Amino acid sequence: MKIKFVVLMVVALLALGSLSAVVAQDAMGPYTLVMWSQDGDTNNAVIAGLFEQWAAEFAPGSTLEIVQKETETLRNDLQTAGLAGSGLPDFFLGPNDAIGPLSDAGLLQPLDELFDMSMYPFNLGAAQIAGVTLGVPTNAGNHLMLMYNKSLVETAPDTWADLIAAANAVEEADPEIQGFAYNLNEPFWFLPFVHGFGGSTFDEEGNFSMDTEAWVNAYQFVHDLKFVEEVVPAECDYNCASDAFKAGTTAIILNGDWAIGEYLDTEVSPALGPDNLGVAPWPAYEDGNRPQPFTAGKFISIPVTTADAQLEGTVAFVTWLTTDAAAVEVHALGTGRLPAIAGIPVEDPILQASQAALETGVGMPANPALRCMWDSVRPNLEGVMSDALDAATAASESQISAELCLEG
Amino acid sequence: MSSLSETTSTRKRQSGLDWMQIRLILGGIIAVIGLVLALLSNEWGYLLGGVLLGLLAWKWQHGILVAYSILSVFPVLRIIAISLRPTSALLSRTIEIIPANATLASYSALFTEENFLLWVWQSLAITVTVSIIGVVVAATGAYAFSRWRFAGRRPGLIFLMTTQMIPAGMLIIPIYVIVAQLQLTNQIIGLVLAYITTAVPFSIWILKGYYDTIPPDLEEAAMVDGCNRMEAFYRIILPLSTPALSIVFLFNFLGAWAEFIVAKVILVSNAVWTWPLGLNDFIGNFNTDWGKYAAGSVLVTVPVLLLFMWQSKYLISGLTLGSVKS
Amino acid sequence: MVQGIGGLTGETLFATLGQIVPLIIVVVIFILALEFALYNLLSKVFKLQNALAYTLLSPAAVAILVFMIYPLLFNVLLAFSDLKRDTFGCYSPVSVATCQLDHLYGLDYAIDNFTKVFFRIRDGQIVDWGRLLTTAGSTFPALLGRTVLWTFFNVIFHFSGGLALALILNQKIRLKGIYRSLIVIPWALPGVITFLTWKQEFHAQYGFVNILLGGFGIAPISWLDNPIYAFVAIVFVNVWLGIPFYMVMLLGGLQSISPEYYEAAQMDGAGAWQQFRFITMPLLRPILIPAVTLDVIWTFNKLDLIVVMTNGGPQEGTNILVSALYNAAFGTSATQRLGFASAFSIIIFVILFIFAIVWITTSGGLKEIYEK
Repeated sequence: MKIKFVVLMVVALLALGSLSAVVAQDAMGPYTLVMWSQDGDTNNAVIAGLFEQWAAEFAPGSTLEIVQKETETLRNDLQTAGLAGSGLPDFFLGPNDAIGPLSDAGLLQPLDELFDMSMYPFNLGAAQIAGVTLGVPTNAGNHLMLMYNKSLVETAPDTWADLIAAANAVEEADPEIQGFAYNLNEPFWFLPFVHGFGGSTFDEEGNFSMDTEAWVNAYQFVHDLKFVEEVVPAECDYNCASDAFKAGTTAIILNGDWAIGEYLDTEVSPALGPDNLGVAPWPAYEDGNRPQPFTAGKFISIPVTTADAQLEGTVAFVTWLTTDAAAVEVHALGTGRLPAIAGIPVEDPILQASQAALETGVGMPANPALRCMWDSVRPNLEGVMSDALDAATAASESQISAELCLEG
Repeated sequence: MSSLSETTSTRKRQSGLDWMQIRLILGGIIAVIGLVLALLSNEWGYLLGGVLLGLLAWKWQHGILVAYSILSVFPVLRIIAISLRPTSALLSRTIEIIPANATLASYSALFTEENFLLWVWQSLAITVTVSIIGVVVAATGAYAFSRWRFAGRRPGLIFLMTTQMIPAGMLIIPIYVIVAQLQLTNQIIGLVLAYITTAVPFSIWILKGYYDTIPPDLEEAAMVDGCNRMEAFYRIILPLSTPALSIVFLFNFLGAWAEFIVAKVILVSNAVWTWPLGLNDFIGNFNTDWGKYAAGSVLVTVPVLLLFMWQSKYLISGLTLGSVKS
Repeated sequence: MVQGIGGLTGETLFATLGQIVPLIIVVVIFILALEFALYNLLSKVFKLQNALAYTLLSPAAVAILVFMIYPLLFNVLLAFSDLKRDTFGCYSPVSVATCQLDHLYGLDYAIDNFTKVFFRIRDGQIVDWGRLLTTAGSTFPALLGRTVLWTFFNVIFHFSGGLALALILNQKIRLKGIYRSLIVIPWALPGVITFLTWKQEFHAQYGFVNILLGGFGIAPISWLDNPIYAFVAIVFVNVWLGIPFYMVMLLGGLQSISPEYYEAAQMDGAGAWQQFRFITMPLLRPILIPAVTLDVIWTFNKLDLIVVMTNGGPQEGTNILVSALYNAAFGTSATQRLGFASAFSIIIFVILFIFAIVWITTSGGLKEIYEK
């Protein structure tokens, strides 16, 4: 009886609350779309601008609400919506590693019938599971690279030894400025080091191979950057590196292509802008090999709940956004990211440098087990970066907990 | 204890007034050294240290109390200081309370760039609803516990005590699943229902403690005069209990006002957040915005703090009454 | 980007009211109807002597039944399920996601869930302690040990700090009221703000703690990067938060002790320490025992501070049982194993319950409360 009461109350209130929304949805033509985005404000603004342009031309009166969410929040919130059976956005923009778990839960629509996939020649594999495409690429890349402030460091350091020397020189010239910083404890920033030593997450059979020499070397290398070379700050997360870089108080950082748009905007980044921002591939180890960033791109996926007019509007806009030559160019230049379709010339020097860095990367596998790697690396990386865990233990522990995670 | 301090002070008096004077002079010298060091090095921390040490030497009780008071107020002072900093100086190592080139930019950003007011409004609506329902439900329930010896009374009271022991997770998990299954995620009603869970037992507990202090003779007298039991309750007990009722209201209010964990699990969309989620986002998200965080904190804290300090004696006696004194 | 002032427009304002006002009206009508019906039923049909008492109690009873008992029973049911992120679709009433389970609830799930809290099983053999989260340090005994340490340090420091301040404030000194108002401020501050502000104060570079230590020539410490320092930091913040409660309680207790006891003791030649030992402490006991009991329970269950300040990290090294539970269910580093977490939560509750029974019966602390 009590439960019935709650349900009754809930139904009454929901009816009240959703009345206005229902009325709005019934009207055809203009679309009211909701997009969740893992991108930053600058890039979302570019998409918002493009949407207005599209709406004016094709669907007057349409609106797009963009809700920004961090990577893990995006994944969590989408999966939670799977339990509720509602509350999903019409579409969302995120990195491809959200696609695996969401597809496991059956939350994503297959897109092969909705879009002309031959338009997207690059990286599609990163959004395909068992031959089914679950994401439309908005750009290629999403790769980490070296970024430096040209007013502080003249040329991009080509090796780690160069980088350390350059960072120390900057700090000697002005002790208030940090020479080099990056998101120390974030696994995404750590994997390139592993790849550079020849390691990878999975072996050829698709099993975890994280307890290898390459992983040990990588853990040791990042440890030494902090505790032997003392070239990175004691504590540094994404904001610490990025904000200080924008303000001109850090000279060299490692960051992804998603930040380029922000760094080119002198209002957001007073110390950077097109004149001062330098972009380059990762510095090489002593043996000449370079750390290799994961590459994939950002993808737009559509949850299974999007249907009828919402789906129609979503597909129309996303198709235009990702294939209309003018729109793709505006998007690329506005966000500083590389286009995902062929035939769009990239003349911007920063984008060309980003392209060069992209070519050093390795494609991110669409294997859903990848999230177990991220989860298991994080605490071990934290241990190494606080000098509490030695590199060999960290590597073997990563392997064990990744396997346990997979068992569930 | 008062006589304990009397003995010590008598002892001091016996050993002569000089001793107090010596300590005063000593304390003064230490403070002056602090001032000189501060002037020489331009670090005002020395002055503060000197004054504190001086006070400690002169009257140690005051030294300790002043130092501890500073420690207590410290986070408030810090958020005020940070909220006034210009964006360019957010990450700095200064400790001044009014920073150089102070600005209210962070405050205005809350209203022009963020849904801050909406968050506060959501919190307010949820909190007031929970407080009202909590008081209404608890007021009569507590009265029953206080005045009747009915079957099931003792187990009921022990159960209320036991609810304090339930780990938050044990309730959050089922509530999360229930709320999700009823499709109440992102609905503030889901949150209200969750908060009532914790508000009711505690409210009954405090109110029962208060009713127990009101002599039953009062109602009996009224009933002799022709009132029935309910009239006696409404006319005599409730008016007499106004202090306790407002305390319960306030505690429910304060509890729900700043609740974070359940809200985080139930409210996902930015548009329906309560302010704790919004403020946490300023720090946790891609765009760290310390200034906005601090400004928002000041705006939600200062009213509560003023209320608390204004009514602190009253509130504290209420809590003591309900939770501990029998 | 933001509509209206700070997101508040006529529309959003009324959207909230549209949810809240009907709720309050429905609840009030429901309470009145319930009381009316129940009173008539009990007094006229069953002719119960305590009809009015049960009637007055009924709204609270319904609230507790619906919002507490039902969720708790549901929690037990969840311990018999395999609810986790990948199977959300199975347990959803509106199935959006696909389901790969052949049954939703079963004893096999319960056995699996409860076993995993303690042991890691491979091929029917216990190979190790079970990991509640990711790291090798997140086993049940490790977390229990840390929880005991956490509770012990907090309660000890709460008590000694609160007692010291109360003893000083109980003397005849000036400005007593002002000191007291300032010292209780931590108690009045909204928790999230306290935690987030302190978290930032422990920042290696910009935090005040290191700036202050730097003043004494101590090299900066990466407080929140190292499990042990991070643990020290969260204990510090919780001690800071808890001292005012004890101070207020004990001050109330001290003030209620009649001066005559001390006068009599002085005549017998008792010194300050003896007065404290044989008069103050025994007379504070009735206040102290319930305060300590509540404090132990609150500290044991202190979830929000840890989630906000460290979220159990770094290396999952600052988790106590309840925060590990939260992270197993909702954390980003796990797969939202809600069925498993339900089983875990039941075990935590049992531990706390056993503690409470043992403690209350041995100390006799809460006797007066429920016997009255």
